[in-house]
Amino acid sequence: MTRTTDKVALNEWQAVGTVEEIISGKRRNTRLLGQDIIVEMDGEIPRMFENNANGGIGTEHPAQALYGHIWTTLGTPVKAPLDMPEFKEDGRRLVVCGALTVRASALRIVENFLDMAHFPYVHTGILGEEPITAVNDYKIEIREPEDEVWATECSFFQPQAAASADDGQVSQYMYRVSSPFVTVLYKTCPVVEGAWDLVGIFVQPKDEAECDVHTFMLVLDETSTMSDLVHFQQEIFLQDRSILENQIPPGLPLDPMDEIAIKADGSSMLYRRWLRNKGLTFGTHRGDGSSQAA
Amino acid sequence: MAEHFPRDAWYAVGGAAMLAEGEIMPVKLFGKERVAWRGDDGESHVWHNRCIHRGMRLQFGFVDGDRLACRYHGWRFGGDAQCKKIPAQPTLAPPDDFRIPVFQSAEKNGLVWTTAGTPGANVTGLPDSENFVFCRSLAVHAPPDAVVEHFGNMDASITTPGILSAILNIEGADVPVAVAIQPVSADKSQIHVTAGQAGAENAIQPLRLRVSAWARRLRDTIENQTEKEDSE
Ligand code: FES
Ligand SMILES: [Fe+2]
Repeated sequence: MTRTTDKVALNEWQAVGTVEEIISGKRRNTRLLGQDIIVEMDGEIPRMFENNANGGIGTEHPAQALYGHIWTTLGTPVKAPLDMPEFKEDGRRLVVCGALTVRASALRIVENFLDMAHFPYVHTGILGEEPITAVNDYKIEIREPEDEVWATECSFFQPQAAASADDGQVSQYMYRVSSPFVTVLYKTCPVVEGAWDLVGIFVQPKDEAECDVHTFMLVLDETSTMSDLVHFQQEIFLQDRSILENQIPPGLPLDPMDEIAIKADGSSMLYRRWLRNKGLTFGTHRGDGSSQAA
Repeated sequence: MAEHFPRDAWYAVGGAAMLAEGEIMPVKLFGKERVAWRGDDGESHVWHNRCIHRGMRLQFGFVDGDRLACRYHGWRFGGDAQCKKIPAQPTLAPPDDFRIPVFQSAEKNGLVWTTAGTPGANVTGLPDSENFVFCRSLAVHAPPDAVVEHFGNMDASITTPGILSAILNIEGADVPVAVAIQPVSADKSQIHVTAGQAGAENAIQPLRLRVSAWARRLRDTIENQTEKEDSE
């Protein structure tokens, strides 16, 4: 596939690798929105270039380091990457899980991240389990002026809510979508009362139906080892991947008639409506067959 | 493909015994994905392989009694394809239009049959003259028409779309075979091979083995032939 012409997708900041990986002198040859790119560090300065078909280095685009990742764009962003003040708080550990390749639309991946109803079936025994399957009512809203989708007052009973959790607990959640490809959740911290742990995904859409998912956690957990934390998150994501690579059609349908929704899908419906209003087409299912993801 | 494989015909898609109670099997017909499953009540079904909720392939679900459950959010669908239960909202009685599109299906001659259209109500099955037993199913990497053509060269007859009958000579004895061709896609087929059951019950297993061996050779020949034509 060649670079998309979808301006909405092009004009976003996208995470395309971890600082740690690239700072060690490794260039990352990857792809963004159908465009082959090279990501590298010039001393402290992250840089991104188009990688031409003939192997030559092409146009340079803006790049910046943020939240342990290199962010870049092929367009002209109207909005900065999301603000997460928690990164400046003391006592938090940033866990960067590395990229996981998923053959699915970025939008399906984000939608799955917002979904609680699948916990008992996809993350059985960890994030949920029959017979406690009901999704309690929660609130959804578009926040202005940030232009973000939020779902708040979410809760779900979980047999093993986090790497550090021994017992089941009712976890409280808040979900936040700051760009079509970036989402973060805030979840009851099992260690410090009243505090939130952050888990987020920066989805790098390589093509309409293939992504690298960059996952991070920002937690107040001093006991679990780094590899415990990474393993926990990786196990969860591999379970999600087995779903994401098996949805038909691969592109996210934005037409409300294409798939059936219930009240528990409120965040998914608001996300879809928000995407529709933006006029995003990349990674969506288009009934006319023009979607690569069909 | 239309001439030999009309949409409205019945096509075998697998051995009925391969689809035990509680099992789910992905099926492809004319390039379209289906799912076949059998509930604890013994009934088999052929549906769209796509959940109406978030599009999950139903082949990865699980059978819960006489219902099929989707792997993604556990929605339960009854044998009538109607959604009976939505775990995320247990108090909701799923509306009538929460249902999976289905295809007509039936079992006959030890095979599961389905269609891409609206055939007559009764499954045609294999020719009535013999008491056919299922031997095995084999994937053939060749267009369905190529499979038909190959049989044409060996004096087989087609009485019903997709079904070829021939007499094999196995170790001096004439064995009637019937092969049901499943048009998987433009370039893939599946053959379901059955043989006329001659003689005692204990003769079935050796017969199966011989006919299966014949079918494997047949598959290899057809695939080689197709490859050769492709490279020419
Ligand atoms: S996709 Fe099947 S239950 Fe949600
Ligand atoms: Fe999940």
